[in-house]
Amino acid sequence: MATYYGMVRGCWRVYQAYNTHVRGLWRTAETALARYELHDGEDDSPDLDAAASATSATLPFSHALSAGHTHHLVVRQRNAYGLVSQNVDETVIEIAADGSQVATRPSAPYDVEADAAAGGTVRVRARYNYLADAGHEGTTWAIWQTDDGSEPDPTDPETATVAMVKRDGAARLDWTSDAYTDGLTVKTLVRARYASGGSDIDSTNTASVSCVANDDGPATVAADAFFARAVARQGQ
Amino acid sequence: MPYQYDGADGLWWLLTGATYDGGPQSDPYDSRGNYAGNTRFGSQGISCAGGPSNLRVDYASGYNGTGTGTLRCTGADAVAWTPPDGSEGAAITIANGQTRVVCGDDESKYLTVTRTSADALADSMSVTLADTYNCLWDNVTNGERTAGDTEIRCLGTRNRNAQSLTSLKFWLRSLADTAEVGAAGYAAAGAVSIDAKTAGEFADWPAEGCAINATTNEALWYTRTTDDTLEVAAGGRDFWGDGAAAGNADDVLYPVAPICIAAEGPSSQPGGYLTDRTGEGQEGGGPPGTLYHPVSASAADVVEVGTVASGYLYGLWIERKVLAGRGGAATVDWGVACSFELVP
Repeated sequence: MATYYGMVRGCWRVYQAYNTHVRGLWRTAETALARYELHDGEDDSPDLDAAASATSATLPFSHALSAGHTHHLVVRQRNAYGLVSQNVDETVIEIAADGSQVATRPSAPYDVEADAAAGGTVRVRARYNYLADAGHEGTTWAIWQTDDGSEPDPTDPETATVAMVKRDGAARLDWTSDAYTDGLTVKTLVRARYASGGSDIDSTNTASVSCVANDDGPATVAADAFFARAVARQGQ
Repeated sequence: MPYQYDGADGLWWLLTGATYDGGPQSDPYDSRGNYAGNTRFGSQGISCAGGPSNLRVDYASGYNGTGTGTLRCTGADAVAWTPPDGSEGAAITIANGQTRVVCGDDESKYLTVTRTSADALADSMSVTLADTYNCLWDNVTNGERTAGDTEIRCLGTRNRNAQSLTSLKFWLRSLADTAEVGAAGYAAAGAVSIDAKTAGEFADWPAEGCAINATTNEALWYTRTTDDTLEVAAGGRDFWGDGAAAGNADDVLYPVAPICIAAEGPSSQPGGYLTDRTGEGQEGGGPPGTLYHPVSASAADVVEVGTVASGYLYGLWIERKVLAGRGGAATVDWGVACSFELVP
């Protein structure tokens, strides 16, 4: 007798669950949200994440500044979606204790250098970015020097003042002092200055630069003498 | 699922509004029925930094969410994907010129990538994913906000897998964690104040928006006044017209976008023709069929299509409603969730 075999067979599938999301964003306008927002920082930069000190739907608008403080002001614009501009540049206004406005001071000179020059003199060089101070730019270099080791005091009378020559965005100072005693340390403070209402308005920098006076070398040759000698040599 | 059209990539979202199946149509505001066009919809915004210059990220599934993930080269011809807030999935190999799908540990979180040269793959790429503005809905103008506004869109969902997919469902994506109504509940009508059962439950909710009580199915337009409290004005009750009802302690609230959805089976397959609302303006016509606002895959009113044969298309209509007088907002989230089953 033969043996026969039978079989039943098949297969199944195993499904796996998947997820998809479609998502996005939109904005909703509200005209009343559109406005200008003033942030007023007293004696420091304002907190631009804090509530505005004053708001207005239009420009210009007014805001009272408290006396005795330097106010750092930033105005931002908010649109109808509530999105605010991200500008951070400040306008600085100083209000004196009597409520009067102190004129805006020029920015400080930069690249200030003082080097011992011939005959015990000190050569002072500096630069000043007058374009950045448009409307309150300096017109004069104010220079203080000491040779007794003390820091120059800008409340003392200046050692010298020099009219600025402005060109290509920068005023350049190249001034040589009178002679100092050999070996003395000469400290120099240079400020930018302009005159307003009969007063001098100076930059507020206080850091000095120093060098040691040295009278070993001869006095600097005058330009006209050098020119005359060259002409004389050509004539020989 | 290393290949395109496998797994979660088996279902493609498409803009509609084309004049023939697969025709050109890339304007999301015109995505209002007729035929599904040739523009794939639904990728997250993608920003890549570092990593191999010969690997291009073409698509990021919305289920990845937002944040920064890492596409790590695990070999000269292999990469692996770690989604934002996820874990690295299995590495896939990819040859020059190939387009492949690389998944996180959750296979619904994936990227579609293309290799553009034979140079060896090396290093890791940071991939930042973000929700995109106006990918489907335009901004609401001040006039629309004050007067109220209703607009419609239609997205196509096509099965690109070689097998049928099953259990295709749609519901509204929750915009934050759900919260439970506090012990005091709230009244069946009029303005109400809703306290959270647990302190801080509303902290990550939008400042203003739509909440749905999953027990009563009432949609409420709320303003979040604290992390524990929602205020609902009388005009914010029964946002979708299902009937106002009292809220009881422990009722679960879902924060969702002010949208509702309806599915439409085309009159023909696979080149499915959907109801055409393209000629009626963004506000006109209204979606065909009944609209629902389900909040989960297990909700009684979940929009369920069921089985979709390979290559077949279904339409998902979405209606956006702007409540008259709501406040302005820099960002309003929306989202639709979808699930399906497929042989891996």
